[in-house]
Amino acid sequence: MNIIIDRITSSLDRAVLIKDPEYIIGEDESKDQFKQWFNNIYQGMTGAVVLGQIGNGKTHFLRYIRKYYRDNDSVVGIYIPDMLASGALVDSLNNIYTSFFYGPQNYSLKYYYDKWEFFCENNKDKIDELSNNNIVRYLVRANNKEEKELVLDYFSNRELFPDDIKFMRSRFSAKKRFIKNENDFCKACGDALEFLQCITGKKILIFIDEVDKAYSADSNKVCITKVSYKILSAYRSLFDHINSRNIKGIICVGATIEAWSVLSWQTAFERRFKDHKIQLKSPKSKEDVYKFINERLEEVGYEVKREEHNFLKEYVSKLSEENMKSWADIISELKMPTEEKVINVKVNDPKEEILDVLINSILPLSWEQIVDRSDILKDMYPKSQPTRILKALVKEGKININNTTPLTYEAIEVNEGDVNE
Amino acid sequence: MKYSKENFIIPNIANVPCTKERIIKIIKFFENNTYDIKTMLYNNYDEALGVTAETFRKTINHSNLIGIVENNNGIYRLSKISKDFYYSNDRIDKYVLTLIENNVELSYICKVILTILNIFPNTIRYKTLYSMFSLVGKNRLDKSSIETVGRNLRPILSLLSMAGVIKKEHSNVVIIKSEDNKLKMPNIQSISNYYMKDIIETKDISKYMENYFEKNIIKNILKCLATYETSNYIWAKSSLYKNNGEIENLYGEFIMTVMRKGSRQR
Repeated sequence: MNIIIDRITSSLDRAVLIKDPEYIIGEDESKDQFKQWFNNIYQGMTGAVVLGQIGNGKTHFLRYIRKYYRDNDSVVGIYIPDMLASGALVDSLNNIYTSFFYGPQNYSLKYYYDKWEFFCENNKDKIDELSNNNIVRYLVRANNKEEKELVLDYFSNRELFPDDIKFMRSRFSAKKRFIKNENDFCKACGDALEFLQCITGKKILIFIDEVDKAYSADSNKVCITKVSYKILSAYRSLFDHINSRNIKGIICVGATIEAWSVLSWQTAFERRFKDHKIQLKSPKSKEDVYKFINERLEEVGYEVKREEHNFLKEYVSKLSEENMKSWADIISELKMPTEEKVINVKVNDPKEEILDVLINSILPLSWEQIVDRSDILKDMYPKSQPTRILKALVKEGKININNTTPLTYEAIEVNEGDVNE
Repeated sequence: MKYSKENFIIPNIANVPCTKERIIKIIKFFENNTYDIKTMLYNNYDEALGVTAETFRKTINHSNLIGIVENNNGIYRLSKISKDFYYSNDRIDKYVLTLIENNVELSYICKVILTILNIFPNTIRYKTLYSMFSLVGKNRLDKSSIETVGRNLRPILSLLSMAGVIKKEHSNVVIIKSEDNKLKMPNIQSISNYYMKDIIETKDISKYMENYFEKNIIKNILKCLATYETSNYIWAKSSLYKNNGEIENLYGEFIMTVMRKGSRQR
């Protein structure tokens, strides 16, 4: 049975996603909730937020949902790994825009070349309607496949070679960078999403991760950094801009509960999301852990034999429920099973305390006098003396009880022998 | 008035009768008579109650402590409240409620429990209550202390349940909402209603609780809630804050924000 434990342990070495996950455990309610919102998109963008503690599976949930809806061929799914890419404002906005196309498992605009060609052929009337869309404007002016693909690369914010930049400048008067401020950012995103929606006819789902980066825990006060304020305001404008262009879909943000609470001070931003909240499950159940282990073993190609199933169930049932707040906790626990979490409060030993008072007293003391000299004992025994403990001390030969009224107690001195024999 | 550490100290009443059957039996032993313990044992009242002589002694003693009977130099009789109840054939829930209301210590303990249940509705685990009363009342969390607290708190919870104030469900205590204001509790808003938010910072929770509890005990109350009350609330581990009013739960985890579970929208 150790073989299976070893496989579990080694399968958990990887704790981050390599690609969009194919399963998620214990979040049926959350999935159903998301489905409900998805089925109710009739116009504009819906804002939604997925809340969970650190290590509880927010990224996993966002990417799972993206894959699920994308695989069903019903959406364009874009995952933005870092809502607040670091750096100065303009760099940050550019990085965010680039991640629309080069983020994990996102498609660059070039991927849609064939769809554009098909759209062009069959929707000549619609092209006029899109005359304000920069991507369409450029594509219409491009002469051949090579030029069109270059345009699509350009608008995916790809680093172009000098020759290509020269070409773009001479043919289109295009600048090297087309996002220089928040307005440019909104326009560029709006153009890209409108382009994608038109040529695919699909809803757009945007998943934004790592909202927590908004903050600096500066000088004992959690506050949003200056750049983050501007980026949040850019997102807010983006949300409204996308809506005004009638792009349909969902923007779904993943945040810790804590981060969302701070973000809610930015009411203008938060209000676009506040009515659509998903809470990731916490704590997890033992059933969840069992399912997770099975899925992870399958991922690493280990086939669980029939006789091992019962062993697994027993193994999981012995895990401590106190360590199941988040998936991160569970993975740590599975890798290195610990004893039940230890309660971290200093426990005073009443015997030691009583002895300490008596040893340091010249005269025998009544219980009232003992308690008077010790705050710890006063706290522990607010009413009457702990008879059992006192009797135990007598039995151990450490104290004597004198038959006075009230009873008095004294420590028995242990003589260590005279210095002079 | 704010509850203090004293109100978290549970009297030793582990053997008080706390079921309808036992209370009625004790009352019927006495009716209009008076007895000392010796006579009651001689009359085999301990056997009638199904307990040992030693336990019977404690039962009568604890019944005296909460006012079911009175003790006059070792001679026991029914208290006035018990007599009124018995001879008027009144409802037992009203009787038990009166017993609680007339006992200062007991009524404070019950009010503490109800206050917490109102601030963090609607249920609380036995485990949370035992830890809370042990940590706040005795500054101890070792097994022996929690067991002692449990032994003495369980009958109080049974009495509260008989009085119709709470229900006991599995390992939880559940508040019963009713029109008549039992125990004359003030109107206490839940933490979500007070702040009108689903996500609340722990420093705000502490602040709100200062309306009902003395400042020096709030930290320990919240420590226990943050550790065990995970069915109704997510006590989210802090990743942002440092030294900003976080609570450290009993496992050494720092908690900064709390979210009520199930507070989703459409």
